[in-house]
Amino acid sequence: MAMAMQVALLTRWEWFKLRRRWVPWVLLGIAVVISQLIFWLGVTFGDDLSYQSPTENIANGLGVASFMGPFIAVILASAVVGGEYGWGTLRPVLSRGAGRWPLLLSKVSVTLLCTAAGLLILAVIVAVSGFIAEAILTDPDLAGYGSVTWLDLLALYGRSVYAFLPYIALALFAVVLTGSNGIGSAIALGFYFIELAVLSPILSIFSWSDHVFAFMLSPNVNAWISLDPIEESNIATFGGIGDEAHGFIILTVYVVVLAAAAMALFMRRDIAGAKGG
Amino acid sequence: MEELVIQTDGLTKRYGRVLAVDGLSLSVARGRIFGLLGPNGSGKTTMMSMLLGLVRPTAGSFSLFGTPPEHGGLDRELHRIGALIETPTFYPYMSGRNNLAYFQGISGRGNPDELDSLLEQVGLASRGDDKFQTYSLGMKQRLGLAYTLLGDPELLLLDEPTNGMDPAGMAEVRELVRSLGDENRTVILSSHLLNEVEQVCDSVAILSHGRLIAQGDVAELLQERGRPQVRLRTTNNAKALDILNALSWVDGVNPDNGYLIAGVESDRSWEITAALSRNEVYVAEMIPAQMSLEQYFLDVTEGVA
Repeated sequence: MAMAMQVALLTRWEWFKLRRRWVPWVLLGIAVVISQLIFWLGVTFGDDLSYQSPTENIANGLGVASFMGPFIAVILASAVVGGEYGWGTLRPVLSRGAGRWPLLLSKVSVTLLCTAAGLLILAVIVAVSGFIAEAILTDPDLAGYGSVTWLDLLALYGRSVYAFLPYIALALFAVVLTGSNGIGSAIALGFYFIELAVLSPILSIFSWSDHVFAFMLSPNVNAWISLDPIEESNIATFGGIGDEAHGFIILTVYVVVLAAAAMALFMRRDIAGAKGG
Repeated sequence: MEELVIQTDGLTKRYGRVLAVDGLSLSVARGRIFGLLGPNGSGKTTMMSMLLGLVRPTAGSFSLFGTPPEHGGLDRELHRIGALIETPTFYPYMSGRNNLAYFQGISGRGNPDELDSLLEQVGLASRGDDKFQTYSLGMKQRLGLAYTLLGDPELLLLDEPTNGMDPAGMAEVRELVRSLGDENRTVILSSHLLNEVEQVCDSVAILSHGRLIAQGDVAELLQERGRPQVRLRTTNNAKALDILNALSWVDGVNPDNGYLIAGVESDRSWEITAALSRNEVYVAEMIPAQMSLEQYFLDVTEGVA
């Protein structure tokens, strides 16, 4: 209980620091611009976006926002943890008795909370754009998610937020490993891009690739956050447990392994002065 | 019996082949202003970092306030400590005041009113709302001192706190450290400035190559090691040097910045006056001279490898 209180206290003060930085606001601005571009290009060129009901519009907004979630999560997590290494502020923080693992956990918490809030903001903005598109376009004949309830929306939001966790854990591990914001975020983003843009196309050539896909991060994230996972995902799963459950397990394994490795490194390593960059 | 605030036993830290701290055993009693001296790389900062849990000892043990750290965790004891290790590092994009507010907040004690008085105390009241990145090194040190005083700590670890300060700032810090010691706080002051340490500290430990080579009260150490000396200025120092060197009861004479330092008991100073005046050399000034901490430091660290 005392530890939970300590993490909550540190999370509050992490937000005190974070809201005074440019990073979260610049990321939010960029995400808003990109999500609007994606949405309006989709509408203009007849994508399968649906803007037929408020919930469908919000679901659509969440879908667009989730696309950028990993980038934002990685850059934000790297900045939140890596900044301390660059400025050499781990020394004064830990000298105040903050505790190593509560500190790291509070950084994960603040990153997750900010990313979740950002996702909500983006979803609302895209949903508003959906209403605008619906009002100005005369022939909204495109079908999207079908009938979406508010409960579906809540589930989709929760799943999207949970899907950010492996990327946050990945960035956390990379930054703690290298002791650098820049190198850490480069490694985490590199992993994301290589998996998505290099490994996936190459592996799709081979017939045995389903077994590899089953353990990769991005296909499992897609399976986990899809509203129609069974139809849209084609990854191999363990013993027919279903794509959603499989995705959840794989995501959880990534989170636990990467976070535990980051925590173990952070607990054991000596704390040096400022590194810069 | 004095309460020991810090006690180390065979504390050792090795970085690969480099032995940064080598079996350090020392103790510091409550209410002392304790100087930690040593050349660059002698292990002072590493020793302080181990006490704060920032660096893991390779061997040995230590206790703070009589309590050894539980499973490497020191968090409870750290709430009673204010520490400034090497150059002060804070969040560059936040003001000095917000930096202090953050550090006060994460320790969960103190009240916001404390910040104004601390900024006032360290001479940063007018710049408290400026960003840390705009501060000069001296101002960063001042903010670092305010940081160490947050929450009214019982033990202060100050690593080169006057680094980058102008002479007036250094004098202020000396005065501040002295006043902190008067309030029954324990202060560990690491400094290259031996004069500063001599003026402020009750006791010292001297480290060289990670090893403790001397520890004790400043006055006692100087007395043990120091020979009786007098410092004198005459109407003809060159001639006085020859005259005094010829006296069997004078244990060496050396010129020193327009003065002569003669190895002789101060109660024999009248004999010096007599011997010189017989040769038409007259004493303009003569005072007993004590060995300085700097001389002592150079003596004990010389040849230690």
